[in-house]
Amino acid sequence: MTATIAFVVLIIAAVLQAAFLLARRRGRDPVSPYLLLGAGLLLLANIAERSLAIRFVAVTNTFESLVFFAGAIALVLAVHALRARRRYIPFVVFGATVIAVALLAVASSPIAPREVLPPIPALQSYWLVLHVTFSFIGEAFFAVSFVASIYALAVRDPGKREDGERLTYTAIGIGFPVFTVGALVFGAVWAQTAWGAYWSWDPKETWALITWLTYTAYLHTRLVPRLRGKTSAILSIVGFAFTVFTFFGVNYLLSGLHSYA
Amino acid sequence: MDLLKTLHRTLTSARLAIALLLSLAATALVATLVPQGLDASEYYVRYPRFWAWLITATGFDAFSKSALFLALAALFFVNTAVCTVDRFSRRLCTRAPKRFGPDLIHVGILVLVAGGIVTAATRRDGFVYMAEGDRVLLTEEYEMALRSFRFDKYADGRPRDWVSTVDVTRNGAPLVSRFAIEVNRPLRLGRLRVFQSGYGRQGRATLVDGAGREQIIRSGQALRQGQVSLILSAIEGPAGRTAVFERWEGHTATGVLRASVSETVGGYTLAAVEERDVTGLTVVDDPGVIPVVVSLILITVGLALTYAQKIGDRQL
Repeated sequence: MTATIAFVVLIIAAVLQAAFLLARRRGRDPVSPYLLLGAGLLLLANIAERSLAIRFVAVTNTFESLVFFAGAIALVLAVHALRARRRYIPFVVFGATVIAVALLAVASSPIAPREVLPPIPALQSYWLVLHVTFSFIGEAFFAVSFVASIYALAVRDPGKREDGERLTYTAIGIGFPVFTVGALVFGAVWAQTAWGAYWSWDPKETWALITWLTYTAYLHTRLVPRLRGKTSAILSIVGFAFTVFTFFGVNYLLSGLHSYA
Repeated sequence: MDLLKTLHRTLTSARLAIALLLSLAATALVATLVPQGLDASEYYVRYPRFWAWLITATGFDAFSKSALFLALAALFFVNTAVCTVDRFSRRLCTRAPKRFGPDLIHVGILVLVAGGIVTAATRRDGFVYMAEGDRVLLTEEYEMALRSFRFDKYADGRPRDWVSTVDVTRNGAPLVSRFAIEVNRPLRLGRLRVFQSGYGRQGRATLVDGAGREQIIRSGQALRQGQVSLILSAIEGPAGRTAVFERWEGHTATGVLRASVSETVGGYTLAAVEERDVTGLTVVDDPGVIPVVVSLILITVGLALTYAQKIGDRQL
C-alpha cells in the first residue's frame, strides 16, 4: 500500500515539475521537493514493513530492489532540490523523477512479483544487504547524471551546458565511490563468503564491471580538456544504459548466479 | 632517449587509460553474449561456421583466459603502474596539496590484479558429496567427518537453510568439533575454506566379485573391468532396492542393466543398495584472497579519501 501511495505521489511530483517546466522556463516549483521527500520516505517505509515481516532487510527480490532504487532516486532528488541553489536544473529533476516513476511502474507489473518471502540461504547475509543498498544508492546518482548529461548535450547556451556538465560530474563524483564499494567491494566479499570465489565472471558481475569501467573512463575524460563535454556526457549516458542493462537485461536475458536479483 | 620519453608520455597518458578502460569494457561485453566454456564443437552446432571459428580462434569461449583480454589487462596494469609512480613522485616534488586518495585507489587496483593472478595460478578447489558418517581427507593434514546434515524449509517448501555439522581432525588429533557449515558461514581451517554449496540424494551400490572382494560405487561412478565399465546411474523401485547401471565398452554405451540385491550384474553380485541424503561441500584453498582483501581495503580507503578531499576542495 505504501508503495502505491508513493507511486501516486511521484506521479503528482512529475506532473507539477512538467507544468512548471512548460510554464516558466527558469521556475522552481516549491512543492515537488517535499513530494519527492515524502515518496522516498514512503518507499523506505515499505522496505521497513516488508523487513519486519521477513525478519531480514527486504532487498532480496526484484520488487524490493525496484522499490529501494526508486526510493533512493526520490531521496537524492529531494535533497538536491532542497539544497541546490544555482545548480538546480528543473529538467534534470523532472527527468530523474520520471525514471523513478518508471521503476515503480515496472515494480507494479507481473515481472516483479510482490509476495513477501523470506530469503533463500544464499541471500541471508548482511554483506548482501550492503552490496545491494550501496549499489542502488550509487546508481540513483547515476540516474541524475544520466539526465544531466542529456541536458548538457541538448542545450545550446554555454552557461546552461556548463551547469549540466557540472551536475553530471557532481552526481558521478558522489555515485561512483558508493557504487564501487557497493557493487564491487561488498559484492566480492559476499561472493567470497557465500561461494568461496570473490569473482566468477558471472554475467551480472561482468556487467557491473563494464558499468564501472565506463564510469571510470568518464572520470578520466575529465582530465583531458578535449574530451570534456561531449565525450564525457556520452560516456555518462552509456554508463547509465549499462546500469539499467545490468539490472534488467542480465536478469531476463542472461542467466547466472544472480538470477534471483 | 626520445623513444623513452615518448614511451613514458604514452604510458602516462589519460587517453591511453581511457582507451584501455573502454576496450576492456567492450571485450567483456562481447564475452557476456557468448556462452562460456563449451566444447569447441558445440559452438559449430550453435553458430554459423565463421562465427564459431572466430569465437574459438580468439579464445572467446573462455574470455578471461583469451589472449586479447590478457593483453589488454597487462597493458592496463602497466599503464596504471606507470601513472601511479609518476603521479605520486610528482606530488612529492611539488608544493601542490597532497591528494593521495587516487594513488591509494590505483595501488589498490594493482594489488587487486596481482591477487587475481595469484588466484588464477594457485587456487585449488574441489567438490565433495558426503552422507552422515562419511569421512574425507581434505589435505594431508586435515580430515573431515560429517556428523549430520539438515535441510530446513520454509512453510511454502522453499529452502531456508542447509546445515552440515562436521568434525575435523588435524594429523589425527581432534581440531574442530560439531562446526555447523551453512551458506554464508564457511568453515575456516588455516587458508582452507569449506563452503556449503549443494545437496542431493545419492545412490550407493555394494558389489562383490567372484573372489569375494567388495566394491562400493556411488551415483555417477564407474566400475571398470578392462574395456567394460558399469556406471551406477539410478536407484529404482518403490523401496529403492533396484540399482540401474549403464554398460559401456570403451566410449560406446552398450546397454542398461537392472539388478536387485543378490542378483548378478556384469560378473558381480549386488550385495546392497541404498539411497542417502548427501550434502555438497566445496573445499577451497586460494592464496589470492589475502592480496584481494588488502586491495579492496585500499580502494575503499582511497575512494573515501578522494571524496572527502573533493568535498573539502569544493570540487563536488
